[in-house]
Amino acid sequence: MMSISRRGLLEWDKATIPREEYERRVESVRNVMGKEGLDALLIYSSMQRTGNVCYLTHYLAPMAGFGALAILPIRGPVSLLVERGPRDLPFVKTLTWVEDVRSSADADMRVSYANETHKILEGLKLTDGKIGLVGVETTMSVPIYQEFKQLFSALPRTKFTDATDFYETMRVTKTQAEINAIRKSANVADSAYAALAKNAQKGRKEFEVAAHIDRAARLGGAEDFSLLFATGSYAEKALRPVGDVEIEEGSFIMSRFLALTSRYWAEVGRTAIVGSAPKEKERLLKATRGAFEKAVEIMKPGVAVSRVAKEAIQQARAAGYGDYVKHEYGFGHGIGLEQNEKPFITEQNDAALKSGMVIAVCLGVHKPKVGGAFFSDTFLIKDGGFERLSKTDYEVRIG
Amino acid sequence: MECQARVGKVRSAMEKDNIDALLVYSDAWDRASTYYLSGYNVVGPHALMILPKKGEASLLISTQWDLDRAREQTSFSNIKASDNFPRECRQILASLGLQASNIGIIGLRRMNALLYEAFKKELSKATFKDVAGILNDFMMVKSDEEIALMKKASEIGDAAVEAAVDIVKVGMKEYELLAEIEYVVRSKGAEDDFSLLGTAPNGVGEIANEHPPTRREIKKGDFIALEVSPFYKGYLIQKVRNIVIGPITKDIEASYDLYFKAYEKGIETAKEGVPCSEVARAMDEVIISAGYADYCRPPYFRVRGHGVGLGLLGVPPGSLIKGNETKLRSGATLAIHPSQFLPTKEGVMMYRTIGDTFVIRMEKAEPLTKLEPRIYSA
Repeated sequence: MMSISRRGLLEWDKATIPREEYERRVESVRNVMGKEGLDALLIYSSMQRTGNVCYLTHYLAPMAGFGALAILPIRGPVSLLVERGPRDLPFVKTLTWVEDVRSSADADMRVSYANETHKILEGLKLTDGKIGLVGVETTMSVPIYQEFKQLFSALPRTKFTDATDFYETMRVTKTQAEINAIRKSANVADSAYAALAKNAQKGRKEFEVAAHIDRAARLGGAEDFSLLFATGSYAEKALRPVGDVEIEEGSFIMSRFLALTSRYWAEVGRTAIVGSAPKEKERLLKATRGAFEKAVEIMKPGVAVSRVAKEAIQQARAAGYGDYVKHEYGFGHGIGLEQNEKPFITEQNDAALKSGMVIAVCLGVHKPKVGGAFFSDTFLIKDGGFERLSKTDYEVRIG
Repeated sequence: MECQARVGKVRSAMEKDNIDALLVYSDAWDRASTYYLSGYNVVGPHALMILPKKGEASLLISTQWDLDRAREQTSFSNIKASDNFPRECRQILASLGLQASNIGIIGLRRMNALLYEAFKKELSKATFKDVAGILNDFMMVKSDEEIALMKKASEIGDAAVEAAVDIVKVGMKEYELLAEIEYVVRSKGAEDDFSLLGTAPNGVGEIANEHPPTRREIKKGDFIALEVSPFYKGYLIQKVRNIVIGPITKDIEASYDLYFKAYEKGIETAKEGVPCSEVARAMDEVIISAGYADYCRPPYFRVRGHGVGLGLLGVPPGSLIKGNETKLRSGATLAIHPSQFLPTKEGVMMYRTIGDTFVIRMEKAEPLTKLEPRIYSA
């Protein structure tokens, strides 16, 4: 379950993502803007989808409802308008390399962008140019968009066009700095899993164990952390938010962790067994793990992501669990500035894996009256194959 | 959950406003509206409840794998997972003959513009009206059951503040302290938390106010402005306390005087029938009469408090701020905090705060906390 706010360490870790990384990104985006004939980009992100503004500025909206708009002209300084009151600007400035940071919210958090954006575009002499919009309609809430639209009528000579696709495509393959950040997040997810293995005990309630897991992630430097669980009879159905189910002998603990550091997510999912379980449960667990590992093995640049999904299903079927694969989870997705990015791993998506992509692959199997198993990991696609970034052992036994 | 009674009240309001069908939209970060009326706590990107003026309500969720949980949490029989809410909504409303009716919508501040356009396109003969106010009126006044949940949240918050005083030590980093505080909050059953802090020598400096935790090390002589906000079964409370790393001298105590006076004035003013703006004005007046009129505006402070309850954002009755004429009603729950920056004698900005959650009653504001409004020393 998503938390209401980014709850952990919030900083700009310049050792992981230095300023030069942003200078390179700005240059790359401007190159494409030049080819597309765009004079400026207006890039919007809400907390639900933080990636686009973060990609350019490193700014992360810390809590629900606090979005931001970045203005990137083809030449000249970048501006960042944040949905925070003026009191919070000194802190916001510690999170970004952008020097021109302005508040777009009043004391009661009423947001306005049109006037300030107009002024900035006027200052840049771009009021009759061609301007690309990134994530504006898809991310801005209705009232914020209503206000923002005043910009269109105030600038009748400006041509506005959607530029979300080209911009988001630039995020699909990752740079070394991005990979380093995801590696760091994967370490945090692994340490959180170690806390599960250590603290999950018979008789403890899910939320008590989850408190230990969350603490480990946060002490590891997570900016945010989210987890889904399924224990006891719920493992027969699906993952869910942490509840107050008591952990029992012989039950499965299915879990999916997502950890965020330096603005980049990593995922790890495992299924632990508490004590000794009936053979049927052990069989299901082994089969799910086997199908997951075999599906992963085929990954290398050029392979269509649909093949990974099909392989997972085929392997589960061969082990006798084809009818119990949870197709609704999907079989994975790109991961980076957002938890779920392109490419989405489904049976239908023939997008090819590329070197430099980071993807999370997952497989969930739930069998009524037996239980369920879930595995996921974060992988870097490399020439000739892949590297698994999350390192938690596949076999976890508790007690 | 008391969803059935709530739906009944909402339907009466719909009739009064001539609304034929109500669309109640929530996303995973602001789950309050659909949770309040359906009992479903969104995990996926979003959910939509469709409430016709007569007949059964429907619930659309975006995560098919969460259908079982949705069925456990609600009493609705029409629950469906969909990746196209507008199309599904049109089909449901058409089956009720309501595709060309007056549709009220709640949750536009969470819905993206493209999705709203898709609704308008699918239901091109309907008229849409933002009726967020309908729910605000009901959600402002809490039932005894809701107050009981908030009392539990407050107990957890009290324990977190006391734990913070025990845990904090010189050399600890802000994020480590908050991780430990949140461990206490979660191990006591809170499902989420929205805690922030500011640490600064003598509470002086431009980021001495509450913010997400950084790597800054806590030092002797620091003041910690700690805002703890646990969620318990969807309900949030908020409390703000100060921890001084070192002894509390008379000078330190004196630097808080004005804030405690403003806080007391706020509590004294907040009761049934009083507009939110009036509570803010009463607190401002204490600061103004001490000669700080210039500082009763942003960026020196944001608001003097706000509604708390289900969810985090825009919770009725709204903020304690000039211009909010919403009148407090008995049963409303409110965080009151005169938190603000003021200049020291040396002319640098210091930040002080105090605050907690109250239930509004006819004659007074009743605290949910068992903690005293005080400064802690660690």
